[in-house]
Amino acid sequence: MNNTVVHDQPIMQVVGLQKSYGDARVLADVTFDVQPGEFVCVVGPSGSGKTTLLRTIAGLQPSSAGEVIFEGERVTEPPQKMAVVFQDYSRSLLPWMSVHDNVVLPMRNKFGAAEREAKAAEALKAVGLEGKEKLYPWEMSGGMQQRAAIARGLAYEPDVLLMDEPFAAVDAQTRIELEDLVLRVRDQFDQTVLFVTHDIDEAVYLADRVIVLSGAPTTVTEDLRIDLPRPRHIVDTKALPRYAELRNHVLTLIQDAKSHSSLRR
Amino acid sequence: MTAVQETSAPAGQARRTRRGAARNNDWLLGIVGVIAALLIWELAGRAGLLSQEVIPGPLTVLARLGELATTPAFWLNVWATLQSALLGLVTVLVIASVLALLIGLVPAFRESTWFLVEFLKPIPPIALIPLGLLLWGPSLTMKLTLITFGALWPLLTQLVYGIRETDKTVLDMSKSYRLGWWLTTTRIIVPTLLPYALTGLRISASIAVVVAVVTELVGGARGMGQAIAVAQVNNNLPTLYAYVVAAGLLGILVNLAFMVTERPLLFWHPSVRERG
Repeated sequence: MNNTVVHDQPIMQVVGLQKSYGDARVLADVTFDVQPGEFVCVVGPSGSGKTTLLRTIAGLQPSSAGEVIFEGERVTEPPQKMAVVFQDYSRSLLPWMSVHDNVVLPMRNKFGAAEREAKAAEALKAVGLEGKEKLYPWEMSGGMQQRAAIARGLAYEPDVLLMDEPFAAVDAQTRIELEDLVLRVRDQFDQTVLFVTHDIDEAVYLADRVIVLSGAPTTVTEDLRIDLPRPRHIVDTKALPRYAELRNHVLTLIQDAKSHSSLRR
Repeated sequence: MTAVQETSAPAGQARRTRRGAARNNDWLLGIVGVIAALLIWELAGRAGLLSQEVIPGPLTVLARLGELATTPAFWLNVWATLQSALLGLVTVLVIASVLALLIGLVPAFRESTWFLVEFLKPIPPIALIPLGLLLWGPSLTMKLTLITFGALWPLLTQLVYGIRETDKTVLDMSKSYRLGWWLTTTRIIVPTLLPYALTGLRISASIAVVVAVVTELVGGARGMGQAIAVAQVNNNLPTLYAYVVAAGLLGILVNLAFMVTERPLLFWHPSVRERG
């Protein structure tokens, strides 16, 4: 991983992004970039417009001002080299299709039939769903459904994988499993990931860099490098004093942001 | 559906069997209900509560139905009714699909038509028979127009509802993966609307059969309703009631046909999944 190299051309730049719904300013001025191969987590208090930010980056909604540059081009519609893993797996997977067909569907406009099959098999194996291809989403647990959604994103071979609070709806045990799974497949596929979460521990544990957001109207409070060694380990990494330091630092920033925005309201 | 069987643990199997037993029970109770009603009908006739001159007993009626079922004229009448109901239903499907898309997707169209729709909905198609007769006489066109008018609303309402309830996350998924209009329509929109469409069609089909019989009965177009009217004029009560029973059976069969189609098409839908 080249996460220490900062001279690379960024794969994505978010520049002065603003978004208002009527009089309500959600994003005031959000600016950050993502380097190729990086795992970037965006963390912010609830109501800080994380989902708005992600939807704008994904090209699913326009910004009020500012822009998102992806691979040198301004994002005006969902780019072909981007994929999104949505928070609500039970809705983003199609119940009338088997897991296999769900994973293959987005590739139909992109790859030939044989290639689709190979990529689907590889991605399903990577997330541990080998042999479960014929199951329907509603026959699986929440964790397995989100694995299928991750496989769908990976198989699409995006240059950046966007993840919108993907583990917010699963139980704590499953969440730990899925966090390690994401780190593993990220290495295996050399995948650039932009991961949005409200969970500070999750952000610090996963990321190369954490972008800390303020409360709405949202700006970037800090762009924090996470200098924890890789590979990360759920027990060892979280036992490091540096982990506690970073985590407490982010927690303080978020707490400050919360009290600030509640003062403003 | 093989996948379902593969994954069902022994516990699931037991639950399935119990559900199956419950379903058999439902059938049994249904049959018991029918037999009880027939018995009461027969006994009421024999006790003199129902005048045999107004309503013959069920045995007489069923015997006549059996006789009629061996004549081609009976089946031609059944076919005339069924054919017009089915043709009407196809027309309803086309019109309702177009209208539902316009109402669901074009706000200006929705705003300008809702009052008209709510005004037309409660008008019984029977009230339009005189107009239909005046325009087209006792013809298939008259029947089809009235069937279409009567059976349009349930399907239209269901489709509009389905379009409104289409999940935003699914549409976001479709957009972010750039599925394009063809895959979005065939793999997402159609399956999403299917449960609504089938429910709407089932209700519309029942109404189509009823309106078909009524237009024949009152308007004099060929079919089971006309046979009922003729039997009444000739004071042939067993034949009259035999056709009434046959019309009821036709309604049940149409309903059953839709339920049988629904199960394999909607195997993934909670309503079918939970029925086991």
